[in-house]
Amino acid sequence: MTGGEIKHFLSINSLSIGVIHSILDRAESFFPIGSKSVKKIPILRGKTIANLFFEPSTRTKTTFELAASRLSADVLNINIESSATKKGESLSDTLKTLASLKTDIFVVRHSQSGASAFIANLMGDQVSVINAGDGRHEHPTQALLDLFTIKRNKGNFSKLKIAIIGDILHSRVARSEIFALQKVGVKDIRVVGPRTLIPSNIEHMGVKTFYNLEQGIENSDVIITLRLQKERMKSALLPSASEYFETFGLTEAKLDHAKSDAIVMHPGPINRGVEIDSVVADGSRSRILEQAGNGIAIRMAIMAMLSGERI
Amino acid sequence: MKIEILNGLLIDPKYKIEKKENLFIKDGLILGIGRKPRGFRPEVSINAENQIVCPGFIELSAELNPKKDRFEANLQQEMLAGAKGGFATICLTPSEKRPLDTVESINQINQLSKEFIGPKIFCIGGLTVDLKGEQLTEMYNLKKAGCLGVSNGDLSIANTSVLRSALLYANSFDLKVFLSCQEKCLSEGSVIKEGISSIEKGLPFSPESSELIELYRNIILIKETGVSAHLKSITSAKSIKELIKHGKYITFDVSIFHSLIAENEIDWLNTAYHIQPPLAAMKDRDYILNAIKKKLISSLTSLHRPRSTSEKDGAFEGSCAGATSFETFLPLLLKVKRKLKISYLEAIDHITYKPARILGLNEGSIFKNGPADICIFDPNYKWKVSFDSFESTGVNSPYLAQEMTGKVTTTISNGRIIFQESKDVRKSKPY
Repeated sequence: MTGGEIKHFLSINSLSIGVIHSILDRAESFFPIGSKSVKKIPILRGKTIANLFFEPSTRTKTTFELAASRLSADVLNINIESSATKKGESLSDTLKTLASLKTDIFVVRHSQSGASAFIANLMGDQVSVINAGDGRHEHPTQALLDLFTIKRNKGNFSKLKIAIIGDILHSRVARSEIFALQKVGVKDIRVVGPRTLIPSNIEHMGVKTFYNLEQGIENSDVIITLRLQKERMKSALLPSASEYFETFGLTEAKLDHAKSDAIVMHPGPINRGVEIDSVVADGSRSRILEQAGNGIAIRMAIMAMLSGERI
Repeated sequence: MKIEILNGLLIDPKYKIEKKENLFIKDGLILGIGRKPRGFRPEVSINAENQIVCPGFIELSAELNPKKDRFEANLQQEMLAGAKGGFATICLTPSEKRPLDTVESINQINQLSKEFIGPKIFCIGGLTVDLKGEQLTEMYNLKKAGCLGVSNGDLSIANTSVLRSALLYANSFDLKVFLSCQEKCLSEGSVIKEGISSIEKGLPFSPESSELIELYRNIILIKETGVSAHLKSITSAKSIKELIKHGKYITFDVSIFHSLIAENEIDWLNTAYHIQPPLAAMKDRDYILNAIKKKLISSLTSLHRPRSTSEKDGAFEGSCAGATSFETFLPLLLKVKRKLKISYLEAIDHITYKPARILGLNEGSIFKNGPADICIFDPNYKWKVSFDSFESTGVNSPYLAQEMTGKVTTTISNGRIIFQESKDVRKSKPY
């Protein structure tokens, strides 16, 4: 397909299957660059990418920065916490000012669902917006890098049984994962967790719900564990981290219920002894570090696409 | 001031009048209906040919813009907005920024509103100090200052013991209480009702139980304390089914927005759709419409909540709740009328006589020697909503840029013309 057809990258739900496969293929072509002695290609030379992180982030922000740098773009990290919005300027005015500096792409993370769409709407054709996570809504680049990781490990998607475990209610990753897995043809998607962390009626999204970890991961090919989003939990949803670990924490013993070649993923940051045991996180079936690395290739592919690069 | 209104179709829900009649107004009262009173020489003659002449609208529960500064200008603009929308009487409800919990705050509004051209302004006083749900207000004094009732605004009182005491105390002075029906903890921070959109959009939601729990708690305490009560902004089918059982002693309203917009029709990039209580599912919206048709709803409200552009700036989730409503109310009411195939009389009843009864006012109907509060509107006039359509301090309307049918051409309150289309009454003195 031709790049430049998509101005903004905001959600998996709004992407076509063709675009998803194009991004995955392009990420595959970018992947070897990370192993070269000179890790740069000139695709985005002369372009400026602004990281607007209204919420703290280490992994996502770093990989976006690295991805932009490998494409030879100039990167602007805006310290939004101490910026004009804290001094009373409206968000719209701050963004318009940044756009007037002739930036090409905004990478936006925000605590509110829909914030990236709002910014994209405000910017129109002026600046491309990449959603790096908005509230509980979506984290589309994470979902694509997870697809990329699954594809590299498992090949074909259609026959896979994939379990997503943990805080589905507050997780933007879970929402994007479900949309993405469905688009590439995964038929058996399970969400697993206590009833307080699984939205009622989530079956409408085409997933199966399990309130027991062993049953939920039975015979699964891929297990994606999620962090408890404590910063978004407003009421008493869990009694303790230790009981959560006992019931829904992924241990070696519980992993026996999955297929012997099942892989374990986690978008990070991981909380050892809460959602995952160290033995599993560091074990041979873990792909957690691989995911982080794959994030660079995926984000390079997305930035290249938005810049009008043919992919 | 003597005014004659000629050739209009007079509609009065209370007296079931739907007839072409002339109206004659003198000194704030209806002097005559039909034949011109002997010796009557009007100073203003309004030709209402092809228009409808009905009682001035009555708003049960409007808020002012929460901005603290320029209070006078704020009040004046909202009064003009109300007049433009056909409202001859507006009842202000307490809000977080304007809790209406002191006699001074009520006196200020009473005094200022009399100085401005516009609808009659009444206040519902605060039920608890600062609406915090902790300490009771001086309800007796609020009533003496003119409050028609007391309310905690759109906020729930979490402490049931305080709520019970507040209802008992209000009942000591025959004050009606106006209660919202969203349970505090379950609804806090929510911008949407739980449903498919809340899952897909990842927005903070309030479950169906939020309204039902608060509703049942309110009903139990209203029965136990014997207080006269009205429940505000009901949104769900289950709530209405329950309230119908208690129709003899509890009244309730639904907003024009909840009657017309379902949550799956929300434009998520338009923060004007962010209102409280949040818009409900299609099945609830359809049930509300059906309940209007069956005359089960005690009253409609505009749910007028003007907000400044900066308060509505940002993502849906982070924006301030509320939509401006006065100026678009009539065409939306007519939209409901057309959808339900009900008569003008039935539609107008929901915003005139019905709210008047709830508030215990003499207004809301047209009768000889009654208050001259009149709305004249052209039911077929087509127009497009734009920023210029609003006198209100807020332009936060979900209907911006949409086509409307029906427009208020004249509003009269207390026998004074407070709005007339194409005449700039703002710059002139009241007639």
